[in-house]
Amino acid sequence: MRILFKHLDVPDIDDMDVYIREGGYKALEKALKEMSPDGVIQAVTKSGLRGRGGAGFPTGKKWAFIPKDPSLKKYLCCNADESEPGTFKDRELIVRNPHQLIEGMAICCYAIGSERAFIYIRGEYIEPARKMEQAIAKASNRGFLGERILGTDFNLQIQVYRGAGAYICGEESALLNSLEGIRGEPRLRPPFPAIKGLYESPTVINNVETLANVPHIVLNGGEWFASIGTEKSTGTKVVSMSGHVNNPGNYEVDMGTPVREIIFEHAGGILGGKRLKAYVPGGSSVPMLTEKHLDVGLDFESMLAAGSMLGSAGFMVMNEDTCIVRATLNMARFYAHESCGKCTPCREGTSWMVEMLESIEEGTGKMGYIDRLVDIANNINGRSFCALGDASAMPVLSSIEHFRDEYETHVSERGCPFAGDRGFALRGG
Amino acid sequence: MADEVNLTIDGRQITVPKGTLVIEAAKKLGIEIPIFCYHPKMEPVGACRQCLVEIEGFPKPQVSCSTRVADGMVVRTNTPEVKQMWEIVLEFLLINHPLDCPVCDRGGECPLQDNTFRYGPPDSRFEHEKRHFEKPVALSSLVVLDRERCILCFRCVRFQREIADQPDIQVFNRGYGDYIGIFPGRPFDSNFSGNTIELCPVGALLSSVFRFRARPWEMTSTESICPNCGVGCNIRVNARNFRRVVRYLSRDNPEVDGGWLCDRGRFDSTFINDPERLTKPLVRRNGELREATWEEALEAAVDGMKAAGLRAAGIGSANRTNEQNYLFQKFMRLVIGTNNIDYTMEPMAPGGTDALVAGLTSGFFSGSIRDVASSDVIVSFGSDISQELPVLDLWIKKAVRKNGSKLIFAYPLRAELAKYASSFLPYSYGKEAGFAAGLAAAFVGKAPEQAGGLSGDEIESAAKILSEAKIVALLVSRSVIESAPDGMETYRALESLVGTLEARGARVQVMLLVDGANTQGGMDVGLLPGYYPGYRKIDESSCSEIAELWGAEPPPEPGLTGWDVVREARNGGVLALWVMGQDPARDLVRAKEIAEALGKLDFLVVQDYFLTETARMANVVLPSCTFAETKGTFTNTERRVQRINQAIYPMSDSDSDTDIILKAAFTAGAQFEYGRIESIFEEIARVVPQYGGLTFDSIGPFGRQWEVRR
Ligand SMILES: Cc1cc2nc3c(=O)[nH]c(=O)nc-3n(C[C@H](O)[C@H](O)[C@H](O)COP(=O)(O)O)c2cc1C
Ligand code: SF4
Repeated sequence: MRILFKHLDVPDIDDMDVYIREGGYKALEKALKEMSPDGVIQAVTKSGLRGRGGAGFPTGKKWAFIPKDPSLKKYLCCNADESEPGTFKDRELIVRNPHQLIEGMAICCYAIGSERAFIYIRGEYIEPARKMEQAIAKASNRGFLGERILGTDFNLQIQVYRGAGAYICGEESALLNSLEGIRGEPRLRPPFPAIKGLYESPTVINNVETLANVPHIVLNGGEWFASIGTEKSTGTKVVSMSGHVNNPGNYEVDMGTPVREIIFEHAGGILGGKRLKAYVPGGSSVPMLTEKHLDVGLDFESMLAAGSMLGSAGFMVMNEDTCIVRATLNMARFYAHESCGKCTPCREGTSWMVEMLESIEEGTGKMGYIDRLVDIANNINGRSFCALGDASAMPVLSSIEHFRDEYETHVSERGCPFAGDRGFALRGG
Repeated sequence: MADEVNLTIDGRQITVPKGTLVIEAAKKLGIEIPIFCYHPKMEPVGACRQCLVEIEGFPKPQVSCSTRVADGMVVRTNTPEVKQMWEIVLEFLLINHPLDCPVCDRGGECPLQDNTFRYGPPDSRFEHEKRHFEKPVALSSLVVLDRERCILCFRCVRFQREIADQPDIQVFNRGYGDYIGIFPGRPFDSNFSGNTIELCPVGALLSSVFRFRARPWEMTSTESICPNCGVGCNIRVNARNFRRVVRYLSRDNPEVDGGWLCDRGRFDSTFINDPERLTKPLVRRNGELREATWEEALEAAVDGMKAAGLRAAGIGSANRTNEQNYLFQKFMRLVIGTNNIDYTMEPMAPGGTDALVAGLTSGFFSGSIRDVASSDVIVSFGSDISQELPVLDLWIKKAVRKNGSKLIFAYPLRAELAKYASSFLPYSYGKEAGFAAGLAAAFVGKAPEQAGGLSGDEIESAAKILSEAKIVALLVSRSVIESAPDGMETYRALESLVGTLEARGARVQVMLLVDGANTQGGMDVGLLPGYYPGYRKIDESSCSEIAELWGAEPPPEPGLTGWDVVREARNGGVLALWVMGQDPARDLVRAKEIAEALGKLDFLVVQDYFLTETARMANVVLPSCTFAETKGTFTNTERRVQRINQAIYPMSDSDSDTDIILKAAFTAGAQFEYGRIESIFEEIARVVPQYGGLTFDSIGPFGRQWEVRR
């Protein structure tokens, strides 16, 4: 089923007039005029919507944590940092249909009592940022934003803020630091952002996709949304397909759709008719899975049960020509480069893992490095300050779990057995 | 009680206040948890991950430095898993550390060494190239940084941001490339930079004064007091071979310094072993100062002073001990026979000293440094505290930034603290009395049009802040009472202001701010021409009281002030002067006039460490010891009597000021008998009522305040 992408065939849906003609901003009107803020939160809670930024936290619950005290300033930060390797869904959601996001943000702000929202957008997303700014200006002119929205006493200003190129600034508390103009590194919790977030005020941070779902929930009701997908993972999920597939791109599927269907039907199968070797279902921060896991459903619970996570649904596919050590090294380099440096295990451990992986890939590695990699990864995971450290361990642990023999071959044969283009490489890898 | 929480750590029960950090609760049980980034005086950050422990109910290990206790919490620090976590964090920290302990200043007193010794891995599994940085890097003329040794605990950055509020040093770059640094073209220019060296848990931040001077285990450590200003921060004097002082470290006195030192104090240790120190007495012969024996010098000194008869005078010192100053004034009064004694040669306003003494003896000035921390409004009048009493500046910043206290900062110039003030009142120099009266009047609703060079509005806004205050700390500079014109009027206005505040139910603590390390003590023990020791105004009855205590009669008439001496020296009213531990011909604002007057004297004796400007003019120069070579007491701005202890042997032939005076008295045929420094203090405690009941021992390592109850 298509919810977020349902207008994608409508030409010029990014134009506000077209969006309105297609029923846009009706949800905002309904929320403001027919529902109380609590009513909106209840509908979202009932829908079962969970955060699409990676952690899957129930959205209604997050909003309900915001104190009701009207004397407190509250903020909404839309997380559009989208730096997770393999993930490019928020970009499309913004470029193709910016008003859907604005409408979702406005409804959220109404629900939590915020008059000021920010979109923290990845620095490289120059075009999406411009698009967003234009859409905000249009919506303000038309009275969907600004003072006394739709004739009610609800006011809202949305501002676009461009990041400066750090993956860690997608982590919600580092995002707040960055937005405040201080060093981008995660904050100690508690206090949680719902109590003390941006400028020490109650703050909701939500992913683009999460917020884009909100107008549909308001219009059609929480029950309707909850009826889509699986029991605990409701609604749809936009999957970013990349790597060795014939048709890379974003696909919106119901939660619970089997991986086989996503790879072979939506994405058109493996490039060059080769065999699937491994896939990462949720951006590089989740464990990779293999051929054996083709019938797993794409939802929070099934992925967990299979030994991975849904994450951002940044889906990276690797075929049989891929050198797993090199692919892992690539991802390890990403984490070493992006570690903010605040905590010891991640700062020191991520670069140590890179050193060992490089040695193995270059043929100077020792057999003992394989267990040592596992040990170091296990000592970063769960002991770091934030989830970036945990994430850095996932590619290493899962690749050794599934492809230990390939690591051993690298060591015993003193080099990489894959000739020439060893395939899968992240940018900069 | 609801404010108490019960928890179990390693199977042992403990009850602690709500909000306590797990690591502090463990400390109470004597359970040690290794740390690097955590420091009890700064906000926890949980960055280094060294202090991970297991807490039941948490799926992951938790950092004990930033987790707060909860009722029924079960914490474990003694499992194999926890030991392994401690070990791996140390392994991580060491993989890029240069392990150059043999040439590292910190070796031997290094938390990284200590934690590795106790909890670390026996060896390293790291087989790759270590991280390199250019090093060492001078962050300022005082602080040097070795980035390869840095373990990125961010204590330095946090201290400068949280405590000093001078965020000159920062973390740059990211992740593996993280390093501590300064902004281009902006050196680490903070009054408190030295604290970062002491906070550094490795040998990354180093003192350019101490670097490569000594190994920690070959140093002795002596408890003492910083001689640099009236705060009297507690220090440890580190020395080698009982001969060479290599550095000062802080010695946390929670009532005085909170464990911090300012750079002016911390780095001022090199003068002690300066090769220019005087080592032999000098006597002027045929117009030139030449080396002489102590006997020759003391004889010449005593003869020269005696020859002046009643026209002799003496100047003590604000950085010499109570014992030294007490003996000095006793010597001047009984042996030389004059009350022409003062602690300074700076001009005083008429009646200023009397106002000061009135405030001290009535108990008006009975406030304490810690009052700053507990008041909701702080009024600072007449001092650039950041420069004059630097560590007090930290107390004020903390009160304003952390407790939300309001500061009313009255000072003629826009000094650093003006930035923290809710009300900044730049009154005009010389109009202190008008300003104080204006403020007092505004407070009772009679705001003047203008006062002390300030508009009525400015005064009124301050009065408004005061009117909402419940607890007030009023800090009054000595100079506005003693040196500014109409000090008595200023004092009366302040009395009336405080009276009104108190009548309205506010609690007010007034503290006198004095600048020298022992200005307060000098005055207490009698360095005042109009008062005998203990602020006894000179008259017939006080004269006989002192005569009884001393067994000899002091001169019965008030003497000349230091500034009077300058004037009288010009016209022959004063012929001979003995200066102990001061360089008035250079250090005071009116140095030029003073030097000119000193040139007119028949005879000048100077007791000092160096051949100062004043000493160059002297007939006899007596080489004396620094505070590190003697023992005694200083009394700080909050009237806290604190001990200094001897850290090294006296330099060459120099002698302590007390011994010099005793020898001079002996040379003059007087009977001054004191077995030990303690005996002098015992006499002070007998003679000076404010010190009654104190003994050298009972003062303890952190000092005792003398108090007069109002
Ligand atoms: C290292 C790291 C990077 C992250 N990057 C992003 C990101 O780019 N976009 C995002 O929405 N969430 C990101 N997150 C997750 C956020 O911290 C946060 O959970 C999310 O924005 C919450 O929104 P949601 O509840 O709508 O998912 C990241 C988390 C970590 C630990
Ligand atoms: S795990 Fe630690 S070093 Fe890594 S990004 Fe998070 S806080 Fe920074």
